[in-house]
Amino acid sequence: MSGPARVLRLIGVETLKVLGGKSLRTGLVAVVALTAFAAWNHETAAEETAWTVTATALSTGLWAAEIFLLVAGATAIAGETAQGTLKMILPHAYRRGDWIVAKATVLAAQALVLLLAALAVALAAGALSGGLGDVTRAIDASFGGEGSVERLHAGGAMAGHLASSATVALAALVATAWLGLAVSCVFDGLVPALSTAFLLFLGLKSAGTLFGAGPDVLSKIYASYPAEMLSRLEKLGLALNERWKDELFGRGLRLAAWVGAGSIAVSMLVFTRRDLQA
Amino acid sequence: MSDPVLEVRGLTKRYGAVEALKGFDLTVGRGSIYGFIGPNGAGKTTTIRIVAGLVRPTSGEVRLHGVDLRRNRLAAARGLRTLVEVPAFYPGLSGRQNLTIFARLSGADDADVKRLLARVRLEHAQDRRVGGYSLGMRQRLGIAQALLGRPDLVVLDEPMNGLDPAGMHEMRELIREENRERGVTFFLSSHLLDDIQRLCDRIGILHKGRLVAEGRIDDLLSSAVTGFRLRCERPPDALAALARALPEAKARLDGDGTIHADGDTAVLPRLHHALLAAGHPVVELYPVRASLEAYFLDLTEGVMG
Repeated sequence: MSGPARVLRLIGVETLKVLGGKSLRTGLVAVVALTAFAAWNHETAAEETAWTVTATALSTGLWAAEIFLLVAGATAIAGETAQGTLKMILPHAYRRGDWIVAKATVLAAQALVLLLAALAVALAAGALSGGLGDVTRAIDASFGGEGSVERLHAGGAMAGHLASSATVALAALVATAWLGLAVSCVFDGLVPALSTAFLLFLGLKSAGTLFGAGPDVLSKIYASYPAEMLSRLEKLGLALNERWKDELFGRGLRLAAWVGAGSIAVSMLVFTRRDLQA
Repeated sequence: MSDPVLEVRGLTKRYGAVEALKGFDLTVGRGSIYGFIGPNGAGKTTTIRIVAGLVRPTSGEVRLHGVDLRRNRLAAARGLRTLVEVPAFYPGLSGRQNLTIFARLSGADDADVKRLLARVRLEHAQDRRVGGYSLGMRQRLGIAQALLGRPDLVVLDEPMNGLDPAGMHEMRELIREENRERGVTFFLSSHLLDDIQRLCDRIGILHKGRLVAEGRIDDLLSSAVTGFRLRCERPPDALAALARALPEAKARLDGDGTIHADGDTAVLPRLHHALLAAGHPVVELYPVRASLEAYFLDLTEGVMG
């Protein structure tokens, strides 16, 4: 069997496990419920629009997805080691690297599913709370003239910004899951794997150098002024630059790509070389 | 020996300062049922983990169907199925779902899953979550996954663990049937020496990381004579003569007139001579062989029973 055929078969096996188990369903319910709750709970300020509701709800959903995927990644190998299934599956005629690729692919697919679920709920919430059209400003009538409506931003442009942010968020979610996977390859026990994964993740997040356009950032995109994006990095380093910058998209993707690629490299290096005792 | 399925040469494994395996050779022929026994900590599970590809040897080689496991794992492990220690499954999935996962890994089809679920008598529980299975049920499911597809070599570590006497009997029958009808080679590790003696044609005894005995069970036990049963004319007189001439043989008389004497094959000429000299020629003589358990204990603890 060729390498791709082996990986495809293992992706099928991993998919069977995910679909047969409860964890993804639980994660989906949590993400959908939290996204909806955030939208419902959001108190819209005067200058906010329906896009703000969507962005706030989405950021909450993605936060839940991020935690779920970190746990899913951190338990991908360590969980199988702890419950003893790794010693059942590994003796079959596959390379350990095949398993890493398959698990990483299925984690990425789960990230996509969770993002789409959060996005669907957030968009529905936005649509229900005033409509996701153009961002406009009413100009009062004065000096005998008529009042008018000024279009600040086109609905299409707003949707484009949201899509860009969601794309970067997806990359960040995948990178988070793969970071967990890398940690999972190092430990036999669940507790050390989970605690180390959280420690690493929170450390990188709080340093402000990881996931430049991740869920943290999304909560600020449209929070007070439409079509603006603030990154924590820019806040800290460049002071408040309150304009949407296209390079944020590239930077977010780059950061996620570095973390993701590094995580896969560590997974391959560790998992293909270590003895498995559990 | 027929075409070897598993060959181990000079296998060593070191965990820090501990030398778990000290270098041994072992060959398992195609179509055989090989018993791999040893006391706790002898290195059996380490050996099985190396064969299963879970642990790397420090030195030495393992060949499956003549292919070096380290150099070409994909080719070597094709047809290899294992059950290492306690069988483990995905607890949230049903027995059938679990077996389907292992079928995909082995390239087996759904018909094989169905056949094996019936064969290990788990049809009634196939849609229940494995988390609710008893140890015996999980053991049956473990054996079923090891037989999926077309295995050449099945490595089972304590396969009777958790099974009741009826379950053990069925499992022995299943192993014999798969061996006889599908030509599957088995490599069994067990502490149940009675099972090993009933099932296996060859055994290897591992002790402190070394293989201290290997061969056909009959051949090994034939060299392990612990005494003799013999018949003579006038047994009481013969017994008295033997007790005088060879007190270390601790001769005693059975109700049916058979004399029992302890000792190995070196004692036999002296036994004959003592009885002949006293005018009691031996009419019948049978060697008493050690049981596998006694033989095993003698090798591993130095106490022949």
